[in-house]
Amino acid sequence: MDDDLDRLLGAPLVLPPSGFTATVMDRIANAPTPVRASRMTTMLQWVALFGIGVPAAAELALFVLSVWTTSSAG
Amino acid sequence: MDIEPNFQRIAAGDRSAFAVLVGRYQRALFGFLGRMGLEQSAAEDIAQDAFLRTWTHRADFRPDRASFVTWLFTIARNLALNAAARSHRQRETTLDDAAREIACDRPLALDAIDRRQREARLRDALRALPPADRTLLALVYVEDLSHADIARIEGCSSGAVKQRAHRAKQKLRRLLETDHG
Repeated sequence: MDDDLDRLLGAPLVLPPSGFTATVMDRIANAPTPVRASRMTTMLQWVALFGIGVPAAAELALFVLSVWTTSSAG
Repeated sequence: MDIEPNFQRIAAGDRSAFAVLVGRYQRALFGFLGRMGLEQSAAEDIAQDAFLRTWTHRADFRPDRASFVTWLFTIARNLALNAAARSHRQRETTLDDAAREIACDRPLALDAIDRRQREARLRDALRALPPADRTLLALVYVEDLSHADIARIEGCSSGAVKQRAHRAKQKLRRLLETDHG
């Protein structure tokens, strides 16, 4: 039974159609090329994030502090 | 065939070198997808997607971490499991239902039926296996993959691969033997 099962499992249940390689290569030729960000672009993105993100976080912290100061003084 | 030198050309965008790889591994990939219980058209879609992904993500391939074949079958495995889950949800067929279907509708003994019937019954039995067992059995019969490769794909040890494969085969045999009763 095991030999029989091995033979069954070893034999392909589906086969590649003729011209399968050409079909794959056609799809590859028509696939959009993924755009990869350059090192410079990535660096600029980080600079922009910190340039805007840090002042924004400081602004928010100041606002919270001023609200707290006002409420605790009143 | 040593594919690693080829892969340097592929990484550089050489399509003809990639076409050689497609030709080299397509039969093994279809064999795997068939054992995953997929029909011809679904297997063709997934095989195309798997090769397309290896091409589009070729820059992410690290030959020092895994072989190309391991990477290809990892991608194909994930695509096949997603497809099987989608198809399972559509059919809403439980394991018990499938096993009962195999047992009742096809009463002939395994060695007394023709090849096509055998294949249909095998496909039904494979589909009735839990996805983890089905995947492992499908991978074990890929000649290009060693137990170490399968262990890498499945994220377990080589010993676990052997044990799980043995148990999965026993389950499959039981499903097929239900026909004999």
